[in-house]
Amino acid sequence: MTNAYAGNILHVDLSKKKIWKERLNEDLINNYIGARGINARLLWDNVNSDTDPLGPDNVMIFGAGVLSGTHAPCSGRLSAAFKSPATKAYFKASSGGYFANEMKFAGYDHIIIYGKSDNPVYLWIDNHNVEIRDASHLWGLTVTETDERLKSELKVERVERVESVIIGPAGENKVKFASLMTSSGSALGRGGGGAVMGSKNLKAIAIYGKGSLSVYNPVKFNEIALDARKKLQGDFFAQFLGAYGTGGFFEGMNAAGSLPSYNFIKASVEGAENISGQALVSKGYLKGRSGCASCSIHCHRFCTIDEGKYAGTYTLGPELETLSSFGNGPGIGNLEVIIKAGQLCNDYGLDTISTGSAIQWAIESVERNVMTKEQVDGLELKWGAEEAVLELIQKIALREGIGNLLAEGTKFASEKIGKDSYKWAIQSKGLEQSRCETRSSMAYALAFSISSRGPDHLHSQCMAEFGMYPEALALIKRITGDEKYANPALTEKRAEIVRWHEDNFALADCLGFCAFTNTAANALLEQEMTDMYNTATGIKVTPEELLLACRRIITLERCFNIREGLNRKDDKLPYRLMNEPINGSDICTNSPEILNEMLDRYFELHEWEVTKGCPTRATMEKLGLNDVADELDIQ
Amino acid sequence: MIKSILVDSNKCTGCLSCVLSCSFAHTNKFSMQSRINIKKIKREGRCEIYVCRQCNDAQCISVCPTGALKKDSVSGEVVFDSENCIGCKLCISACPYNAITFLDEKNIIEKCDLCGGDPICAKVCTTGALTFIETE
Ligand code: SF4
Repeated sequence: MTNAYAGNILHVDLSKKKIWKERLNEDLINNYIGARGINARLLWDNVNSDTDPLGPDNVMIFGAGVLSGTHAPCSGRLSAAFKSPATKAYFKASSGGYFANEMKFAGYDHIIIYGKSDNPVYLWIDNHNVEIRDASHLWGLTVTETDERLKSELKVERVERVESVIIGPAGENKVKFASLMTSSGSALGRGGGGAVMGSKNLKAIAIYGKGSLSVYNPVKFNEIALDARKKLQGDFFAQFLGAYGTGGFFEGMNAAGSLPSYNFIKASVEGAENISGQALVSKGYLKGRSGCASCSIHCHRFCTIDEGKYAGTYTLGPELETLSSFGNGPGIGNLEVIIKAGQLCNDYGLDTISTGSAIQWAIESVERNVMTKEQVDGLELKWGAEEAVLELIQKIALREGIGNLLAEGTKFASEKIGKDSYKWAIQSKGLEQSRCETRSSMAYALAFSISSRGPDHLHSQCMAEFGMYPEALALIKRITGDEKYANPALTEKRAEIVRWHEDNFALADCLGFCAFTNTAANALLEQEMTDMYNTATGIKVTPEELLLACRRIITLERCFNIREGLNRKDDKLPYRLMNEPINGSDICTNSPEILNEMLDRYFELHEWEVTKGCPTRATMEKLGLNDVADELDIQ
Repeated sequence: MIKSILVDSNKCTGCLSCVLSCSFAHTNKFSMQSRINIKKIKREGRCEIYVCRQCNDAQCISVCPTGALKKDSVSGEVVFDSENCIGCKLCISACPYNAITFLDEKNIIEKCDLCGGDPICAKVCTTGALTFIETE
């Protein structure tokens, strides 16, 4: 088998209670690299447009990064793929933590779950021994409780090392944005993967790996990986993130007028310094930092509340997205409430972004008298309503009262309530937008509108467009020919910038690298990644060849959505962002005209057909996707 | 000059970079079978680091019945001679730092050898939890 890969796919059919293993074939490796890429191909092959995301025919696929398990910096990321109950389309979710490493050491690059169990079960993967076990005693437990129960009953040498992907009550209740949580507190948060696991009656997958991984050229690989670690350690962003976490960006975004606040009505708030990553440190809530496998940045937080109303709360987080989803988003300035909200979401297994967005939509609906107090179960729902927000989180997870409507997602809820409420439903393709003000960053606006999973920052992170540091300026110059394009207000060259970032984001996803290595920061680029890939696997490829494979993956993901009936008409942003200006301006910078101009160029660059944004036959043949073109009947 | 690994568990984030690098440096393969181990105490958000401190008054040396463990007076290292190890595990029980592991397949113990003078764990640790410094 190729070095660095574990070499196996684990198949588990919950309906038939069958488990089998298959060698990972070289075609998959050569065409789709690993993790996200191979997941995408497996998903394409295993579901179709008739598949109900919450029916037994949907599959849940996990993939470990090609370099996960090694000491390459920040290389331990896990990728999942499934048809999303939120978007009814292709979805990839990913997280840090240690699950990907344990998969590799247990001997698997990929795990595919098919079917549905009649009763609650969990999957126990102890290296070669894989068992479907009864989980009736775990059903209804929170994520933390489930992890602790599993660790108390599993019998292995070092049980604290057992890593699991777990759903909470929200996943069991098939909340459309229920997350998959890992033991280490990282979330495969978006798109409702938790609901897919819940629909299969699968409470958790616990894994423990005792094997080892070899690399093709240990001396060379070691040299390059240690160099990469050094480079990343010296990176300004990496140091900043280690100190203040992703929430460290909060105050700067606020000062720049690009911190989505009050359901994206405003782009900054008073008092941001009280609820930022810096505040977590200065106010003493931060008790520790957590590093994902082989991390050299350590941005993950561990916070506790020791006194007062929420004493005893502890959680891994909050991240920037959570601070904004439950802080300036609903107009809350109390950091303890935000920490508590994050903890509740993590324990119930809810995506903090979508949960916060659904709640902000409900608040605005009440504030605008589109929903009555009775419709929200008598809650005092208004901007800044701390207790009501915390209560809503629980109601959503348990599908109680108004929570049952919100659990369907903001798109569905606004269609149900009607009366123009779609105008403040901050979603597109069925996914609530992450906490990024796309009206002040044009590459982000384009990236969010074409993202196969909906308006979100993990399709491409075009951080370089802000030109905040020398590496970013150099990169923008390389992509566009001129540093002057490091300007987020420009629409020119955004398509070029987005395409570079989406290719490289895909590369990081396939190899298991965190976005803070190459797109959300720029310490390691395609050359370094290719050098690590080649010395680890023994495969000889150029950066261009790897990036071409990434293009194949992105095109396949696009094709998946085309098979579902999506096309250019769906490549848009939430209504508010496309129609309402911010920061006192009188033009909306995400207007359809502006987006269309960038979209035209983007499709042209991909050599896709422009009216529908559908890949052409010629482009697909160039990428070796002939069979996909046949299935879509593209002439 | 004696150099040793200074351990500050409070700074550890549990990233396992040290564990993976250690296994790799000693076997050319990555695994969790390593001469340094990290125990995560999730509820408290902290970690404990288990690695040899090359003690001056090393308990492991005193209990070892075969002389497989010795102090090198020049480097200060507690040196392990696998030829003499009978796998009795007395050193494992005696070590106050949980720093000695057992290798089932060879029926001997395994401990930190400072990678021959340039320990990789301290090189990959970016938090300051492990630093290789002059102690005497
Ligand atoms: S490398 Fe450092 S921070 Fe990471 S686990 Fe080891 S001691 Fe802890």
